[in-house]
Amino acid sequence: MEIRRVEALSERIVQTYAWGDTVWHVWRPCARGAKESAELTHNTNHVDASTKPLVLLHGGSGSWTHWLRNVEHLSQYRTVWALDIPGFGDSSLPAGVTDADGLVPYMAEILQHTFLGEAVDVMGFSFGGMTAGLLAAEYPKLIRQLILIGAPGLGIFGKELPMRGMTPDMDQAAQRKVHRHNLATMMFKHAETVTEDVIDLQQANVARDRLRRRRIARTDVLARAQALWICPVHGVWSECDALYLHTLEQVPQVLTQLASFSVVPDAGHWVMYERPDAFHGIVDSLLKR
Amino acid sequence: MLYKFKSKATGDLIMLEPQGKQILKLIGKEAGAKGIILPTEMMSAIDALHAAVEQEELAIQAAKEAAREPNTPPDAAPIADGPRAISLKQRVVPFIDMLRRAHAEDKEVVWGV
Repeated sequence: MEIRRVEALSERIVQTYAWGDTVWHVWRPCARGAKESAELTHNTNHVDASTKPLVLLHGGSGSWTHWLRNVEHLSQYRTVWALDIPGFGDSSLPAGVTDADGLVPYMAEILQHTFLGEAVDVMGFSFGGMTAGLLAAEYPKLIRQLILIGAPGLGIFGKELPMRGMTPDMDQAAQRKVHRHNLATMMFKHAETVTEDVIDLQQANVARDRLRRRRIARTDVLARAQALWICPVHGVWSECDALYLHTLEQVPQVLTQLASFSVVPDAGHWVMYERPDAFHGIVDSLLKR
Repeated sequence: MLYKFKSKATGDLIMLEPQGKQILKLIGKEAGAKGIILPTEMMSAIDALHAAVEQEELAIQAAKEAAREPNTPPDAAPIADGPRAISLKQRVVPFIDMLRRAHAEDKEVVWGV
């Protein structure tokens, strides 16, 4: 399975905070081959200052596996830190947090602790992009450069997508059918991108999503936060993002503080999975500097 | 109005009107509603953008120095920046990359078509 292969190339770091555990997966440019001998660690005092960290924040109902097709490429030239955002994947949910805005102080604590105050590059997809944009507004010193990918919170969503829900009486086959439908509806342009492996990945991620009542993605919370940004913020959207079907060109008009706005052709919302090469073609120029 | 730059070698790059006009002016193109950058024009366009970035950096540096109090020691804390301005350097990175890729594949970059 692809997840196991890619995960085996990483170092899994568990950090313990007062409110629970946080899990990172880290891919280092020079760590290939030496990985097997690397010990799991509970502290992060060994951050390699010579390789600037790149933090990846996944989308809603996701985990680090949203970046499955990207971490190997990106870690050819950056140390890649993919977080399971608190409340998703293997990371704990802090008590009382229900949405991206509530996560911000916890995310700040995680970055502060992990990178010892060094400002890092952050790339956030969808919910992770919105969270990163709020973080950049409230804690500007923590982020050196931000790349938003298909982020919500701009107040320009169209109609609700025809997503299907699960019911407790559904068997495995019925559940997988719902995942297939939802992935094809929201995440991808091409239905054939939804392979059985993608459904496995989605099922594992959705089962660990503990922030199910989040709502602010439909507001303009991110658009309002942009006035407080200090670092350069770039936007990368996909041409056929279901969330921006008729509003894609409004994005740079709403997010006027973007330094650039690029569009990946022939891809849906989960652009870095559906068209990884085209996606890398855009972000490499921003991240190799 | 938006400037939507397209090339068969890359994805689209969308800019608000003032930024699109600024970049076209820097590379010596008329900032009309439609236009084309030919592969043969791309390397000099990239050079022009780099030169403009360099000039902007020098101007920023000079402005910072001019804003210092005359008797401020050189290692004093820098004066707080004014309202956030996105530098040309940050803006042009994806555009330069687009030109490089289009040039490598011998494809033109167009807008408004």
